[in-house]
Amino acid sequence: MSKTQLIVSSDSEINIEVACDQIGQAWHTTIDSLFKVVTLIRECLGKKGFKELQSELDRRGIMKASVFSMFKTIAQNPMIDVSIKDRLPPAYNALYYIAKIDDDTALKEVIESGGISRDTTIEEAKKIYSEIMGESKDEYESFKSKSEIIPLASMKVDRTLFKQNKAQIFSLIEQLNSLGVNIKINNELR
Amino acid sequence: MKKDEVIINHPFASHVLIHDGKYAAFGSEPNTDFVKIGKIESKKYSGVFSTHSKIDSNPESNSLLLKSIIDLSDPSLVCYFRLNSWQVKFIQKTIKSFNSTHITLFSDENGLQINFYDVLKLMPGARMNRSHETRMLNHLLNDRKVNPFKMTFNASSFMLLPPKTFDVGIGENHIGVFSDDELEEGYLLRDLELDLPVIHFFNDQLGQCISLALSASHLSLDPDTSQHETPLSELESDDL
Repeated sequence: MSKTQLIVSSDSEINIEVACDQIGQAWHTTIDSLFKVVTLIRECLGKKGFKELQSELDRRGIMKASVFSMFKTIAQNPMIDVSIKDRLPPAYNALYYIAKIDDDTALKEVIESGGISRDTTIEEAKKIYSEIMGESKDEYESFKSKSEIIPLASMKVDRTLFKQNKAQIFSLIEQLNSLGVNIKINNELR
Repeated sequence: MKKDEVIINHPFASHVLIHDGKYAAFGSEPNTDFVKIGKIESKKYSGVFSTHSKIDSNPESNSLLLKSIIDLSDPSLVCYFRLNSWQVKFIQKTIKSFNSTHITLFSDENGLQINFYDVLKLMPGARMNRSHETRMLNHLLNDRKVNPFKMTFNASSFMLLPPKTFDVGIGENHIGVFSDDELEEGYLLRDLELDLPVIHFFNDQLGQCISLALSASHLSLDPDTSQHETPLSELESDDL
């Protein structure tokens, strides 16, 4: 508290130097704290009891399950590393969208090019995520499923004619069956 | 979700266990390898329900059963990865169009991959027929490397997953845990531990991945026929 008061001098002017130092320090503390949480969760990833930990943090009011889930996503992405903390936004919700990018090459490029920085807001992070992952999504969605079964035709026959030609019709059906044409015969005709 | 909705909303389930504000819906035949876990609004109900009726059970046994299911969903993991909603949709479309009975998720030095196949067509008995077609589709889902694993799922059980983004945990207990954290829902799929008679490798000269289906005669040696296995040591060098 006393440190915060120091940034405003006695004549109500901001002491720029002190303010920069203090805000900068707090800023670093924020990202450091975020990474401390990420590191701790990363240590627990894949261990038995991980879901129980999530429930227990929520039950004790320490961290909501939804927030834990976001930290889990950040922890799961090995690209979000403490070594590049100065290039990442100090906000877990923005980091969450960045961590959701699982195309490592694209993520590396966008970090190195400065597309992501300490100033990246959550909206910008969302946009970057959509842009990068959208390509992968489009690629998958362009896949059209083709059924292996092709409907050929539906057949109708006059009852009298059927009775007259029953043997021949069944023989033809057998021939079609042997060619791989699956014919469902009306029970009444059997 | 309310108690009645839980039962109605899970038509795939043979039984639904409700206890302590959570439920587990157990897949019926042929999806007995599939369990869905979720939450309900009220904590007051405790019971096991079949499609139409409540089955005789007491809260203690329900609690024990639920605990064992929750334990199964929270194992030590061999590895974990994310399956995006569009990848889940792609897998489900491919299962349909390829008439797959099974899918195998696995990882190697190339990343996370999936194989689609009809297991009946890979059975040695069927493959002895020369006109028989053996097909398998391989797809690279992500080139990010994860710990090596191999897990085979019933394709029809995978079709029961909603097309959402999942955090997937590959459990040491041979269970694939598909979690949707937003909805606080989880899906358990049991590994069927099938071994495909197929090997994959990367050929440096061709610069391509090659898959080979092993010869059927090597898979099933019938002692009542003239087939016999020749130990490698007995082979002449010309045979190799």
